[in-house]
Amino acid sequence: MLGSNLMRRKLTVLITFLAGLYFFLEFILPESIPTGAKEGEGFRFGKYDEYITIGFTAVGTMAFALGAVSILQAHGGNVLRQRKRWGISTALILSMIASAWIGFAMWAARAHTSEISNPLEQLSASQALILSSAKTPPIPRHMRDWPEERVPEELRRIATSDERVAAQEKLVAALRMQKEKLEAQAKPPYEQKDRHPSDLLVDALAAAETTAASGLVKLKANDEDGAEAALNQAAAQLRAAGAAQRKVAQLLLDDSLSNRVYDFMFEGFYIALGSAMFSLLAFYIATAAYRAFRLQSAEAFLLMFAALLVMLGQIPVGVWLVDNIFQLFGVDMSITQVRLWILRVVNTSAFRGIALGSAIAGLSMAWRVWWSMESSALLDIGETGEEEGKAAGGGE
Amino acid sequence: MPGIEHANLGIFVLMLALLGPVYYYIQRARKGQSLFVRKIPGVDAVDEAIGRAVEMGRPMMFTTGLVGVNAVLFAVLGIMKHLVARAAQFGSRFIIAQNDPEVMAIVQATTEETYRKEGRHEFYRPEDIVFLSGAQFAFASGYMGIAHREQVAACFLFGTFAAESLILAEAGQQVGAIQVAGTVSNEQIPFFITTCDYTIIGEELYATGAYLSKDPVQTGSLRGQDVGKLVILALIIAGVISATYLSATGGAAVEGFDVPLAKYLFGIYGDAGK
Repeated sequence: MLGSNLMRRKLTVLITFLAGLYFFLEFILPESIPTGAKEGEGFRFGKYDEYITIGFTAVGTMAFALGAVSILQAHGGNVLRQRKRWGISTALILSMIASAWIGFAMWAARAHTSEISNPLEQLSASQALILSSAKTPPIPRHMRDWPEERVPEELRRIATSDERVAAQEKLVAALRMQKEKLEAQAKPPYEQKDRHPSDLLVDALAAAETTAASGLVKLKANDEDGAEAALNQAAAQLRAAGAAQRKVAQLLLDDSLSNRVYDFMFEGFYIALGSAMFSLLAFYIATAAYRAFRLQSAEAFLLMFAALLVMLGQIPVGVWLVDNIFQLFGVDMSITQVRLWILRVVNTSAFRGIALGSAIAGLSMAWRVWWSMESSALLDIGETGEEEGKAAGGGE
Repeated sequence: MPGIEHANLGIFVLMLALLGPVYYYIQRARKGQSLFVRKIPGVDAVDEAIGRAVEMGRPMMFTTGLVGVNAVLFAVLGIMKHLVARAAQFGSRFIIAQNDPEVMAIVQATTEETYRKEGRHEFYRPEDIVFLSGAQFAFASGYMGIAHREQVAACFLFGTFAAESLILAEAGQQVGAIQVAGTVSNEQIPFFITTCDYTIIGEELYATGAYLSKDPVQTGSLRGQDVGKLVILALIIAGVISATYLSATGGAAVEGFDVPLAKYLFGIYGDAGK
């Protein structure tokens, strides 16, 4: 026990010191060592920031999981044993489960939406490749950075007519399969007047299939100009169909139960309740102002006088009134100037003084924490553990 | 601001000038030398508020506001330890409203440890350290609810605050609690001044921890910080003289880095190498 507490203390001190050292050196040293080194050359502290962020995220995730377990243990126990305020615990657990369910459902639905149009985009890219293969070697996008010898030989040269026909036949077949798959999913009541967006997507795909098939016929007939026009149009139709599919998926996501529950809970409750609390400030500022303006001391008088001048210089009617009074007495100045002087000279200098003091204190505190001079709760526990261990005669 | 994260030699020297006295006075305090600590206005109010809560037999309430795990939290913990120790001595309830789960874990450990050190662990009530919400206004609403339900006699608001500051302080006002606040959030200071009985402003928050705890590290640090402020004051005076002299002799205008001293100290941001 004593050993583990001592180890825990030492580990905390060591990690704190190393983390502080990294950020201190990053601040003090130039961006790159040697100074002015090009990207990729020399040593840069900043390049480790990403790893540190990932580390924080990993630790945070563990804490998150522990928190969820802790809530279930503490409040689950309240509910099971029907302790005081067990109803609140029930509401908390139900809200947590509902939020988690909505979160996971939305995450899965968004992932599905972002990937749903991948097959159509791949078909569109393939169609563009078949189209260009008559003039340039049809190297697919993912192979373009490969060393030349790694790319298959047939892709390193311009495609023959037979190869293009064979590729187009495969594409038309794949397109047909995709269309049938979507048709099965959409279950279109074609006779219905008010058609679902999914049906329109099937229509777009059918049009692309017709164009691609006509391109195939022209390729077989060696009608190069006609084939080029048809394949070009088919590639564009497939791209449009892919975009339409994403939109349809987004519409379905917006209309889903999980999204509606999320809207109801977040927009309907959470945001609205937050706004209600925020709106309380309007009334509280009035009561705080009233309290501030009770002339109970010399400071209160100064506060009220300064506030009065700033208010008069801020509002148009105040400016009009006071400036006219100034003119009446032959004073060549505006209340706006007085307001700005109070804000820019008196107010700013006072706040700068406070800010400088806070900054020095913050620097000193950060330094104490870095060197573990500060008696933090974590270190205190270690020390007490040692004392308890000694008192109990405990050891390793 | 590009390059601001990389200091130059001037800033490094300035940091040494500010931290050197802190280190020196901490060492002196650790050796047992007595250091004079200036009296912080508002500190007496802390004990007055505790006394009132004890007399009335009603709970005290404390919050660290929206503070995360940073330097401000450690300063606030120093004050909190003092308050918890007093609450433990008098057997008063001490409610701590929390907004940040990481801070809450540290606050729980510190509170329990303080009760144990005072030999009053039986008075420690884990359920009095409540996590209200990570959301700003939900937290404020929870705080208001507790203040009203428990009819707290004293409220201590130490830490970082934003727009919810006035809501928290008004809740205390409504139940007639004596309130002491301390924050480094400049924009919230006027709200606390108008609503709380005592307000500890800016760096006094750091100083209060030292004043209350009499801890040699904190006391020495506080003394060193005062010397650091003298360094800043000397720099300001030197800058004013330098700028005035240059303006009078037709040199550079008094604008930012045209002042040679500022230029030497802070260089040109984003290009420290030049």
